[in-house]
Amino acid sequence: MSLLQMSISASVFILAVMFMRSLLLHKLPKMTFILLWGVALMQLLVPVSVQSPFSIFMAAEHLNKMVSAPKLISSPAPESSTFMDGTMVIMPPKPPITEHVTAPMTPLKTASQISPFVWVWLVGFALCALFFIIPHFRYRKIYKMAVPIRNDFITKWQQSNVLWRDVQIRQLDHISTPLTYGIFRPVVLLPKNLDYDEESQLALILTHELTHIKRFDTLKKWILAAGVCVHWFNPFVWVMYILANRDIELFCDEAVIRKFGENTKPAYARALVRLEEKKIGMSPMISGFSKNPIEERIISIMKTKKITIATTLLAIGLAACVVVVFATSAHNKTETAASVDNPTAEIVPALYQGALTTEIVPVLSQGAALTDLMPHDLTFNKKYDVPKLIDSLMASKYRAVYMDNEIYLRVLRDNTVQISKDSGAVWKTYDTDEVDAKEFAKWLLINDPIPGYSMKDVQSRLANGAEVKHLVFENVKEMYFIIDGSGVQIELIQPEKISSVLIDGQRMMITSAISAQMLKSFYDLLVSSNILSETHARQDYTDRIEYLEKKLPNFLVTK
Amino acid sequence: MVMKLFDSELHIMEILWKEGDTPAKRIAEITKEKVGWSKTTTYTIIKRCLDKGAIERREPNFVCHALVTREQAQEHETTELINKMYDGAPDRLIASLLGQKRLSAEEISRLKRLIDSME
Repeated sequence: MSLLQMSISASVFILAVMFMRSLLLHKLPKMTFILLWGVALMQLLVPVSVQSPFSIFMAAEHLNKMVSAPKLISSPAPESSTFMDGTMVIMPPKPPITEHVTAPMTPLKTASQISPFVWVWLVGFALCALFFIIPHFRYRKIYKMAVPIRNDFITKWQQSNVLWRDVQIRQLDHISTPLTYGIFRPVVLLPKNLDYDEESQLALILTHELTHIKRFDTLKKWILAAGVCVHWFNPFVWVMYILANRDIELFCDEAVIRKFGENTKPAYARALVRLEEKKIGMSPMISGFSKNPIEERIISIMKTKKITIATTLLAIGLAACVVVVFATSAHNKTETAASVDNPTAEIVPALYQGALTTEIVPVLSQGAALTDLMPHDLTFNKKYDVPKLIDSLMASKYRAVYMDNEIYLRVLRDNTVQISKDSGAVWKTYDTDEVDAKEFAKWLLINDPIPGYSMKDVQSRLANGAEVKHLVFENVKEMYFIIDGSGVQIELIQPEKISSVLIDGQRMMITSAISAQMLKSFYDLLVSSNILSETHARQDYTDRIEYLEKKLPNFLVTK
Repeated sequence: MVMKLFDSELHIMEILWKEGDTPAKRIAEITKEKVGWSKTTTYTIIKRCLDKGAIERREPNFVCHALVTREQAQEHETTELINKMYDGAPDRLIASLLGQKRLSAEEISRLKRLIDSME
């Protein structure tokens, strides 16, 4: 799932929670909203945190694709395969050679087009993270300067409220409202100007802070901050950040009132206002975003009610509805969206594998739809003696045999090309154009349809005087024949992928979506062309089928 | 000359006033035991005192010498408060950008009336 998709689907949910919050903030137990924000955070963070940094890159890549290049998504296969294929070079329809020069470069270009978006995201992420972390460490340094408090009430209170984590209570004159810092070794800091004689207020404050500690609220706030850093480009996430932080506070207030009883509500609210009053000398800030949070907090405190079964059921019902309607539908949506996107993401490595390894690489099954027609080079599969097959070919009258749905093709020893369009009944000789080997070598380098391992070989053959012949078919299929003493090598350019089998002086290639029937016909052709004996052909065919069925999960053997 | 000092700084000064010139290392030992500060924290505070001109560094051994007397030192009033912006968790920082403002006297009294009316 891309980062943008996650962000968008989470935004829908955040909006729903915001709406519910604006209507029912003071009616429902505050726990409801904390849980809903938790769901939103999971939507925002979980897939990202599970995947590797590379996946984040991929996610951002998707984001970029969605934003900038929908065209690339709609037709990723031909463009990438142009670059990656072995023999079967796929070109857009009617491609003049000059255009070939740029077409195969597209995948590379896409990669470099992606990076600005990824960079922008990374820079935003880094800035955002620094924005949180730098002040944190600066202030932490100051917090450490707090001094112990000598106050009997606090000592007594501390003894009666023991947590498994060691909680320190200290005093700091830099601050004006109580605060807690540290997740695993929490420290409660009280301002110096607090009224230390007013024990009931002190008890409220300490209980409030202890509730934060018990609930790991500092950790929650950091996770929220992480969500903001990852989704810094999404304003809804920022809104969620602010509201969720307020709700953590409200949830905490609720707990304090529960503990001390409803009678304490006014005292607690007044204590809050008193703390606000003591914030003196502060520079006035921009006012603005919605209602004053203090006011919201006071109303929330004053309206805190006993949780009845009715409100609990209402809260559970509503929260479940919101989650089911908004979180899961978004989830489904993202799944379908992901399935649209995935092929590009997952196929790219598969194609690269196919192109760069010298053995048959079973193409990842996820990419089946697009990799069906990937050519597999069987040449280097030592177990099934393709070199021996090639020896038989070289010993025969023919130098190459090719077959697809439309044509059978043979190259004779004298390099004439025979084509049959009726499954081998009638063969016609076709005329080929001569192509300058140097020009072709250059073209090949730029277009690079040949996987790395054979490019060098082909280039040296071309440099050493190999002849190049060219044939254009009616349906814009083109074929180049590289011919020298060691045999014929066919390079095929076709507008779209078709099932095919090829054996030439260099390789045996096969597309994975070939049917067993077609492979059978191919061996029949080898027999009728006197390349293989009938027994040899049958044996080879059986071995090949067995191998393909076993090794290529998406090899479509239709019988 | 009157110098405003934070409690943390006063703790350091107190040691110097009581014990006279003291090496920084020794101050760190004392504060670690008495106040629970780490060595880094103590050195940070000493640095602040040096910057303010409350103490002077004398070599060798980083000996600290008080430049102000107990009478000249004054408790810092909580005017330059930091947690109006930040309270140990990252939220205040954002909140401060988006409307967490200091309340005016009118707003304070309005909130008080609000509590009264809801009581």
